[in-house]
Amino acid sequence: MALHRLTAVIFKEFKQLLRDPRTLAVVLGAPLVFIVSFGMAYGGEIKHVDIALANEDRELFSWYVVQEVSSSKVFKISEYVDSFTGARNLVENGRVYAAIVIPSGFSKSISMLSSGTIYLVITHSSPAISRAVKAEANIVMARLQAKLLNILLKQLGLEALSSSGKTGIQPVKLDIAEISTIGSEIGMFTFYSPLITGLTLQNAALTLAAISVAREKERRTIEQLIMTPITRFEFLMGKFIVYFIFSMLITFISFEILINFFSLVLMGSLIDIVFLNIIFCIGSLTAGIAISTFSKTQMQAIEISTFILLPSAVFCGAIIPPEATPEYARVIIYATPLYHYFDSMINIMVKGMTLTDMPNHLIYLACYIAVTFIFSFKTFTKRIG
Amino acid sequence: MLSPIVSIVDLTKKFNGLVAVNRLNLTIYRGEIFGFLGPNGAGKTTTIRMICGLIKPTSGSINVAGVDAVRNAEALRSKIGYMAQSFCLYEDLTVEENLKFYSSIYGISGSERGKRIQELLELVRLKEFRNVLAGNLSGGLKQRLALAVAMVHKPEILILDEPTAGIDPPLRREFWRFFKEINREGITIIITTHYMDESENCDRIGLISNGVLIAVDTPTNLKRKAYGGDVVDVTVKGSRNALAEFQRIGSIISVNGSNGLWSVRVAVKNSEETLPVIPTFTEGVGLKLVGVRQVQVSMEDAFVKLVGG
Repeated sequence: MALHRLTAVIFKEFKQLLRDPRTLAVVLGAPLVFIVSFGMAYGGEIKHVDIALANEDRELFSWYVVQEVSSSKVFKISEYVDSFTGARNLVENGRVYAAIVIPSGFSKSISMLSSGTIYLVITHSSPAISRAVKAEANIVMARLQAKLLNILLKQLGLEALSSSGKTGIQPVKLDIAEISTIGSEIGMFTFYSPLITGLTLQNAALTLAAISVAREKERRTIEQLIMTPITRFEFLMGKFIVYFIFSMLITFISFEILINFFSLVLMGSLIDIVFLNIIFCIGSLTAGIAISTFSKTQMQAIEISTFILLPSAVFCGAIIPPEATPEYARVIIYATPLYHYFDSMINIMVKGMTLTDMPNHLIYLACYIAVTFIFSFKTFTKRIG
Repeated sequence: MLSPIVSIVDLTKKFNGLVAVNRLNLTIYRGEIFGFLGPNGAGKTTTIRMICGLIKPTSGSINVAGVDAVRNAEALRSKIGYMAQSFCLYEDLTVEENLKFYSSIYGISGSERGKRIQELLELVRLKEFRNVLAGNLSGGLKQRLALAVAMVHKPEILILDEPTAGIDPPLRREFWRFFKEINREGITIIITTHYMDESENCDRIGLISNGVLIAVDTPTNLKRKAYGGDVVDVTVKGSRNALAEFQRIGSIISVNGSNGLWSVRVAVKNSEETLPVIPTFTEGVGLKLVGVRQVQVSMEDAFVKLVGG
């Protein structure tokens, strides 16, 4: 392989891509619109989270808590239960995202000038929601703290102290009980995020690569190029590198938008996520190049790509999980590269697993790369007949 | 001394059973301008694509500049400069960027590259268009750029597939000036064309029809071959019956005229020998000589004659 030829192809491809505003708009612009509209529809500010409330105390001070929680815009009390156990069950069953429990003796403790504890039971099923719930619970606590303190001091005739704020009395304390099992309901936004990033990445990489060689055939530029000493590897690699950079850039921007503007939370390691995206990007590119090598025109390449992109969205396991499909259909899901990306991403993003915990997915994606790469190398020859 | 640069032996190419090139044998010599002449679909492009190693022949062998073009096409790349029938360069790159790209592909870099591009831009007179996107060039300018790209690595052989197709006659003449200029530097040029007139610019021509190489020779010799010699036109006054006597000096091609004034076209072995004896000949057969001239046979006539049998 000669470096000067490889770099010549890289520079050429960069220039061509930057001078082709239509392709850029389709490949770079469309995914961004897609990501932003997805974020606006499913992500963003969290309101009206279903929670359960258990008031075991039922004494004076507990009603202040109930009042304060009810007035929160983030919480929506959808279930009232009697006990901690009842509340906990609701959370575990996924009926509600969280529960606030006021244990018996709460008011008594406060009257005796010691702290009354409130429990927040919360599940990790949706990191974004649990984070929002925790934040809101703390805000509610702060309000309660001030309110209850005022009432206490009034009762004790020590109103003067309330303005100084230095009583040393902390009437309420928040105790957060986290339930780390995955509930049956992961937030829609979190669940579909890897599907969206996967689709965006796959679409950009596959389409870019698919039209690349086909365009050279359609415009006949390939005829001049195969008369030069350039090797197949240099030719395909030069294109590959440029499209890899573009596709990864799009993926990076997608994640940035989802995380910064729509509060997507990544539980697992960032390295695993980056690595997985790189692998999937390479696979999509080699698949695209494979399509390109046997397509005669760009139109043909795009048609074939569509036939791959559409079913892959349906069979990636996000719409129908493999467990819910009949045996024979499961094979299709397992054969879909996007499924392996999606499942790995869910495991990393939500469950905090690492790639080494799921070698099967990695092995499949590696095979996908190998097969498509060998195929494109075999199909693309430096002859025209 | 003529040294062969392309040797083709028994070359055959079939596409799905259809014979495109049939048992072609040919030697092209170093330093010549060799033209493949024939109508569209005759097999010219297929033949030169096989010479370039772009198409694998069904059978036969091709040796180009000492390299087996069938088995070792890659080794040919640096020896051949190729200009395809249609424009094959990047329309979204400028003239200079196309040249830079191809120079880099051939491993020409740094100041050498700049110098070479400068030379080529001067050769094909594209200097003022260097920053224009290739896609915005006119047809003739595109062809000039294609020629420059084909020349970028100083090839031994320049292969031009219908380089002047669709270009108007004054521009075609200009192109031939470029080709001759390049040829003078010792570069062998192999060219295909279906323009009969411009083929006369070649040193030698191979006539192709239906995949068969019918004749190979210099333009003058091909024309002679067509009629078995030179063609002379003799205008005489006299009796029609005496005209048959012309068979004694050659074969009669045609007789035109009336009322005792006749124009007889005769194919003779050698006009230089025949022309001086015509006055005596006509006097001997009782005809009055009005005029005599050698006819410039067009390549088209010769082609039709040779192909038609």
